[in-house]
Amino acid sequence: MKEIILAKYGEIILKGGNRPKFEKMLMDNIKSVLKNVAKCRVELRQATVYIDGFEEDKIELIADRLALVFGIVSITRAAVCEKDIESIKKTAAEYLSEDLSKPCTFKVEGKRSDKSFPLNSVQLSIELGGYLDDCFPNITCDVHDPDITVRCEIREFGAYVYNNDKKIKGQGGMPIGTGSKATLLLSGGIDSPVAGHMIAKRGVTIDAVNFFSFPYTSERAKEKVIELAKILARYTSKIRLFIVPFTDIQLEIRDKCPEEHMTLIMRRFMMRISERIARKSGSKALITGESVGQVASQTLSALDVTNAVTDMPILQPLIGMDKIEVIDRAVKIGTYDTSILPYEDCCTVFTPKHPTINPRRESVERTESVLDVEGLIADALRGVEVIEVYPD
Amino acid sequence: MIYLDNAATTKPSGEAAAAMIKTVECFGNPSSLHGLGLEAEKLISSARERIAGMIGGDKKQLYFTSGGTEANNMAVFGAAMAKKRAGNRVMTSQIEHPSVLEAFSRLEELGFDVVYAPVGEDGRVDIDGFRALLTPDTTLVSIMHVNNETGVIQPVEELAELAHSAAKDCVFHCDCVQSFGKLPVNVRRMGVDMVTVSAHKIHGFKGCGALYTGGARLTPIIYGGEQQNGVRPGTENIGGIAAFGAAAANCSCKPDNMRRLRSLMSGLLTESVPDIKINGSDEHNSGSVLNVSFIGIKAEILLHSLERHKIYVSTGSACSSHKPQPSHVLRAMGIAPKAVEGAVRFSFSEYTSEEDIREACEKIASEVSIIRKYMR
Repeated sequence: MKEIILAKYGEIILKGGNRPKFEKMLMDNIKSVLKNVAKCRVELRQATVYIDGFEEDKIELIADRLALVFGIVSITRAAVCEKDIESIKKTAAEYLSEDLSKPCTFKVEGKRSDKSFPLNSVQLSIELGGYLDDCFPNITCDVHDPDITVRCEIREFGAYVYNNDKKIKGQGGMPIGTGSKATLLLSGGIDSPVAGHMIAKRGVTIDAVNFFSFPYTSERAKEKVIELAKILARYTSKIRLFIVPFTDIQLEIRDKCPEEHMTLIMRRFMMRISERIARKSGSKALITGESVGQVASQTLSALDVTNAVTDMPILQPLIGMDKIEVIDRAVKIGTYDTSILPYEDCCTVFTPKHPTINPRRESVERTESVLDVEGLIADALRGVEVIEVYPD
Repeated sequence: MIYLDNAATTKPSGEAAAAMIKTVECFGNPSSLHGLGLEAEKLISSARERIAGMIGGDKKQLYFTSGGTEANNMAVFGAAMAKKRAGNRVMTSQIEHPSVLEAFSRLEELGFDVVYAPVGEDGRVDIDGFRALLTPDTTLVSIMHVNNETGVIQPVEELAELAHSAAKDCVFHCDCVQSFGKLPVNVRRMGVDMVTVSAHKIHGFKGCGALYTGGARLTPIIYGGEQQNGVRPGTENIGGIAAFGAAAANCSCKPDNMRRLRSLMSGLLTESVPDIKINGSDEHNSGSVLNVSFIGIKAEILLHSLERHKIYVSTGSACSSHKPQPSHVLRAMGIAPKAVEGAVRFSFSEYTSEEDIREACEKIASEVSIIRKYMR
């Protein structure tokens, strides 16, 4: 019996004239993800991507990888057979025998896309349902609230059957590459990787910027950020990571500015430097992991002060989320365990004891004006290290 | 490079490397009956003879292990289990290496009555406190020779004598990982039964250590073939063992040079860096470790700053706010949290030079003043 994988896409279907472009991007992404996993054939027909021609033992690996591809809403393993009712019955009974041997309720949903098939959708359902009911003594038919929904689809090129409840949920969203590029401010924390994932999910290619304060943060803190980028790259297939030396700027601020403005001025520098990097590499927006009120630097007044230094759009997908919701997402996308590794904390030497909660733009601008902002930025940009990060 | 982290591990010596490389050709399984096996066996017995000889012990009672951790586990679990019928009471100190402490805490879970001897501010096990905890039915005592964080020499002779006279059935284990090869270690003179030693702290390779059992009956913690009388089965790590033997042959067991370096460094730092505190007794120090608290500094930052100058040191505590793990040794000594946070460990080897120390001290003084400026 031959098994194939069907990946269905979601939102792309709503696209009008651009739909072929989106479909092509999705196909390219799928092919590139599967390139190193297994030899297989990938074809798009009627809003479904068919993957077959792979070695039998690779099927789970392929399904797992597809579950990370943006644009796909569901992944289904199905048995294929001739478009002939007898062969459909036989295949269904054999393929689903394990699921249908236990006592349960079931129904069959037939779907005939190929109108040359002699039975219509309803007739197909009745015929196959009756046969399965005879084959498996423990099951009863329940068309309203069944435990198992058996699907049978008749397409131009063949028929296939599957257990609809074994569908794997895909990422959803839009194919990477359909939404230009944005630059993520990636720290070692819990929030920023989640923010990056959410924007990438909308089809946006992601670059990442990290600020490195050696020796106040260790080499291991940098390794941790690279590891986080690697996990994000599972979804985006690649991430370009810019590591910006930040120690000198921090020391300069520490030296010349009031302690309560330390964090704000630091963040203004991060925004400015990120914008420079973003513009140079063709990004259209910055992404940060802020959520209103989480810490002193994320009050609305603080965001006003921080964001004032750039006119680039700043995407803050976590802005209305609670920490607990962010953690849930981090666990789901697989970054949480790495984020909570304890390496970033020497940076806390620079956090003021009593940061301003309601800063005003003018007052921060005034305290910042003693610094050679352009000079400091230029120095930092000269020391940037670029790492191309690929998934393991 | 100035490597001042020799208590963590040492650079393998040329002799140790040569001995290990020799086992590429002489690769037989020591248990094999043919000539190749015999040759391998000879390498092991010569290393065994050398190491047992150095500690004044009987070579038949020395068992090679995968390192200090395994040897300590083997001693603690092996003796406690073997003597379970004789008594339930076992004892160690608050400042042992985790491979001893964690083993005892497992014994606690298994229902043993575990007591921890206190230490004084000088970093030595408190003799009166120790005596007060001794009971006639104590079956096992494990006290280290030299502490890995402070370099302080423990009063092992007195403690062993006390233990043996108060508890007839007691086995005394001494973790000598930090002293073997650097100070004289002699089981008879010290009055101890079991001793743990490790290769990579004396310029051998990681993955090799030994337990001297002194004839104590041990319940094995690893089961397998008949290698090493079944006390520690498993095909021997001949490469590591041969290198261990070669490294041991190079040891002076005289601490004078390191003591000189330690006092040089402690003097230079006291002169040039304000607000520091030397932790642990100067008088009873092996000379291999200098533990200094730089008050007001997080030790890890100084560590990374020195790293930029290729000076490698170690901290007493892991720098992390998620999982603060200030040194259990320094805390047991009653040192203030501020000082524990800023504690850096400098540890020396026979290859450390006076110039190394002078250069390191210069860099430390300047880095400390920079860090202090920003951590106001």
